[in-house]
Amino acid sequence: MNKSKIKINLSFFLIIIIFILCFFYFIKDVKNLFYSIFAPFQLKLWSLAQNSRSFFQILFFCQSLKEENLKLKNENQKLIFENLNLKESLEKEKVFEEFLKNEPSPKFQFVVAKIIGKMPFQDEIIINKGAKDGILQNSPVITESKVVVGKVSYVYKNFSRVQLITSKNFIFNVEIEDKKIFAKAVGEDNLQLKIIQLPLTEEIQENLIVKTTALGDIFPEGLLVGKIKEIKKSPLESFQEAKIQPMFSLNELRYVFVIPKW
Amino acid sequence: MVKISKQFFLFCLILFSFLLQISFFPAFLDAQFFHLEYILNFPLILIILISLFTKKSNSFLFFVAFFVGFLFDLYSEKIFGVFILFFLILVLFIERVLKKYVQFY
Repeated sequence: MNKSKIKINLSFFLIIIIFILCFFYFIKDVKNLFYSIFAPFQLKLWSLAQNSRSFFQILFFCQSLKEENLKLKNENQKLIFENLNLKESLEKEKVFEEFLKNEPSPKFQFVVAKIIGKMPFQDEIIINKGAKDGILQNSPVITESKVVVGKVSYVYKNFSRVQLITSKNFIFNVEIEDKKIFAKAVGEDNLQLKIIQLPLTEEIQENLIVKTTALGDIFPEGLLVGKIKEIKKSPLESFQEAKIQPMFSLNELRYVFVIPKW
Repeated sequence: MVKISKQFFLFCLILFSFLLQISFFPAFLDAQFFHLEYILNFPLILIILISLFTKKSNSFLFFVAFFVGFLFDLYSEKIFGVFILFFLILVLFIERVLKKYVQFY
């Protein structure tokens, strides 16, 4: 091989390497650009999917029943949240009396965002708000009924990725309603969630409400997580496990609320 | 001209199937069917079908595989290039299997 050919090959190879390095350097912007291009189609498809879902539900059930069910579900979640707050306030009242009498319910500053899609093979969603809208990494994401959805895992200029609480290895602290039991919730992917490190001595039942705690500083305190569904006890282990049915349902979500500061 | 339009059509089809995959089916499926995402992956099915029915070794096929991999990589938190590599290997594997074990008439 003559020298000039080697030189050409080398320069070609160098150009490719520089191109790849540049690409990785600007990957955030490249992704943001592609998300911006696809976002309008994705938004249409997401709402189309929800409408089609409703259409099929009309075929199988009655539309009014579905709407009523949705309303009741939302109302129920709100009532559960209010109930939890009231219970907590009552307890605090006993201790602090006058001081906590007029304590307001937790109010956060929200950024409303639309879901535009789900990341393939992961429990992550993309929302149409990004750094430009004041969204910060690790900001909690909730629904209108104060049900926790996840946290912002990555922020682009106009978009953000939200890691769902069901995402694999997503760990956060939770509290089981009424029992004052603190444990850890771990995501298992495919919208599955479980409680771990629950001592065997603690007695829990199905359908108990699980909510977030301020421990760990991941989520604000008192947000709804889900209901206990299945309890697994093994005499060989010192801890028990329980599956949680998340209170949010991804296919019914269109808007989420991001809390940049709380 | 016909060839270009056919290739363009295939690209559009793949892009559309990808958008369906990330923005239509997740909003359509219930939690208990969520794992279906791994089986009912339309871009993957399309790539396999295109590889199976493209008789000759075709650079276009690798280009399509690269394109699908690129799209998946854009929406993935994994290292950029993992899906590109996966789809290229898949296409190469199918091509080799077809070359070795299948005779076209």
